[in-house]
Amino acid sequence: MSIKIDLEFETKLDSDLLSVGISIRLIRLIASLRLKTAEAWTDPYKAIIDTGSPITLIPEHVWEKVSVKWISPGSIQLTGLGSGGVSGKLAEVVMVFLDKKGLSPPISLKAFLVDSDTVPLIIGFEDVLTDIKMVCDYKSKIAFFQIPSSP
Amino acid sequence: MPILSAKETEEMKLPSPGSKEYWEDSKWAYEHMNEISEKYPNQWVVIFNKKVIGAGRSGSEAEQIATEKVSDQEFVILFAEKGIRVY
Repeated sequence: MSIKIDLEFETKLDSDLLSVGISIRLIRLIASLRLKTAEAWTDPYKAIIDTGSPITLIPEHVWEKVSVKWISPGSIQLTGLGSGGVSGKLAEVVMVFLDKKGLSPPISLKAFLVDSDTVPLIIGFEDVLTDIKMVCDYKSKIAFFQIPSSP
Repeated sequence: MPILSAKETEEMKLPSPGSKEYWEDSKWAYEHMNEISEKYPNQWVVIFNKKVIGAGRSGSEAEQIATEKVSDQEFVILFAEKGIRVY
């Protein structure tokens, strides 16, 4: 048995490039989720699904409400493409994915909790895309997670 | 296994998938992202009742504005990226 959770596409045009006659679509694949807090669950948040990210990144204004189990003792610097690097710590958190029809079973994942709000919530591979089947068909505007039911 | 077993979640009260209004606001937001990103470039934006009710340079600032305006009702918060951004 598995549960299907619909994903959303965000599509917009780069207006600066459009003003010089170049049409570039800025497309994101978006999941909705809630994270486990000490007492209950957060409000829903939107997250970018990024198959280029090895791990999930959670900005400070989100994780500061969440129940976390720290894994790394100290701060770690992440580097890569983009605006330099970000610092943060590794922790385990619990989340559920949502769509308008329902929600996934709770998922426990290792995530990088960023020390600032400089990045949006990003869903990466570790513990999520490693264990969930994802279908992404932008042309047909169909995208979803196929998540095994709780074992 | 990252997906928690039924035994591990038996004492966990699961949340709702979100109100009908939340999903209507979500749909509205993605239909209007061009305008939202132009008006609030690279800001955290809060959408409620099919309109932008607040924006801030940090997510916590935007959430605080939203909570003051709509109390404990669910709202959509997203980062209004402008331009090509790679993380």
